[in-house]
Amino acid sequence: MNFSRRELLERCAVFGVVTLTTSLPLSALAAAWDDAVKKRQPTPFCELGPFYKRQAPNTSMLRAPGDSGLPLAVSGVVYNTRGEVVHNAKLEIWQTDNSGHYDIAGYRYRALIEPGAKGSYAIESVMPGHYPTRVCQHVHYLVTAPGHKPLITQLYFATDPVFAGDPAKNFTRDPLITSRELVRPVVIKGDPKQIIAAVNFDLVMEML
Amino acid sequence: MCKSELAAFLLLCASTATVASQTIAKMQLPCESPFQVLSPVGTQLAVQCKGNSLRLIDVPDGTQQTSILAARGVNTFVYSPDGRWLAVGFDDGTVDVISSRDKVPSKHWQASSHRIDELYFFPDSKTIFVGPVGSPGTVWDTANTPALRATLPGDFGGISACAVSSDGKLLAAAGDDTVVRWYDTATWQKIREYRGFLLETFALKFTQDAKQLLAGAPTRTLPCSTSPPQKRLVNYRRRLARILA
Repeated sequence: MNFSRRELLERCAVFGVVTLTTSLPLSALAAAWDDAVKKRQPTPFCELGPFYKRQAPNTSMLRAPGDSGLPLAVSGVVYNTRGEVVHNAKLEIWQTDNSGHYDIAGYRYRALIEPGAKGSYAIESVMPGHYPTRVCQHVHYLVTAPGHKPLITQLYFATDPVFAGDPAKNFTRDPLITSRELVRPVVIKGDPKQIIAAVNFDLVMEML
Repeated sequence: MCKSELAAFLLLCASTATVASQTIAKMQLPCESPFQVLSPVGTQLAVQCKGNSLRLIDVPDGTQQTSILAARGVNTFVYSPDGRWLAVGFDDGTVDVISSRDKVPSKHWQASSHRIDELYFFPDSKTIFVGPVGSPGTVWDTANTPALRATLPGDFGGISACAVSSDGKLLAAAGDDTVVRWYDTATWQKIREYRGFLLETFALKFTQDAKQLLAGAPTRTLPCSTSPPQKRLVNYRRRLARILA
């Protein structure tokens, strides 16, 4: 049996499970409840770093045939803090290759993505490498959209050996990680001939 | 014009290299230190210790003058051009301006909620540019109680490099957004911007006459652009950016 939030609220009020101490009608309370549930916290900031490069190509395929490294698929949806999908966002994404090198001369492992009406995005890449001056593997994001504050952040992987299997406890081993929320679970998918690390990373922008 | 300035820089490097070959003083550092800054007058050394504390020691006798504890996390520090002041930026977004030689009370204020990455004194040694990570740069007057004079927003992110002309009339700021912007320091109006760089600029320096601005770029080039109103830009394919830092 499925009830809408409004129906559930009505039944609870009728049976005395919920006591309403406000003069607001149930419909307004249900709408307010809906809004409260949909609200999202903004994605934490994590710094841009020195390797951002303007004019990245419009592509969702960052890896090329024969590239070394564990294939990586990252997907998500861009929301605002009201929980609404942001329709006109632009995502700029960049990372190192599997050996920990950024492409400065060109645009390998750099992409510009416009998620469109559904706000969803997906990229195909490889698991980024470690490099000497940074502790953790990471993917950089710059998300812009009219009417929203630019979002600068980084995605980290719960499978990173640095976290020793316990990112909740060990995420501060990288001093740049500002929130446990940026360390995302990794799902291993595919078949034995081609396994893929899949990660979901929704993004929440603050409105101006 | 720009080439002659470059030659001057090279000459400066060459002469510096010659001087550096002669030992002036030997001092024991007070701690394991990844980074040190010598004051402009050469009489004091600011030593960042491992663990992010900071110690100021006299040159050449090595007497320790001041120690700043690591609790707030020293992230960056710079001497004023007259050598009287040392500005220190902390991880918690605060800035201290401390006297390097007098028993003058230091100034302390919350410049941002973000870590301070860039500090740059104006030629008057009283005005200071503060660059927090991921946030617009700000300019503060520290002559009395520190007061905000200007905020310099970009498209996104913070400021990666900053320079002020020797007469103090022009400020150039390179943003994380790869844009270099020129400001008139009398009005704080942006008077020019250059969007030709694709990557972050990590060092800026005005020529002595302020007519040109040199930029250190990660592409191993040394772009030199004229200050307003001209818009000429020359790229020098040399690994010279380091000398600008």
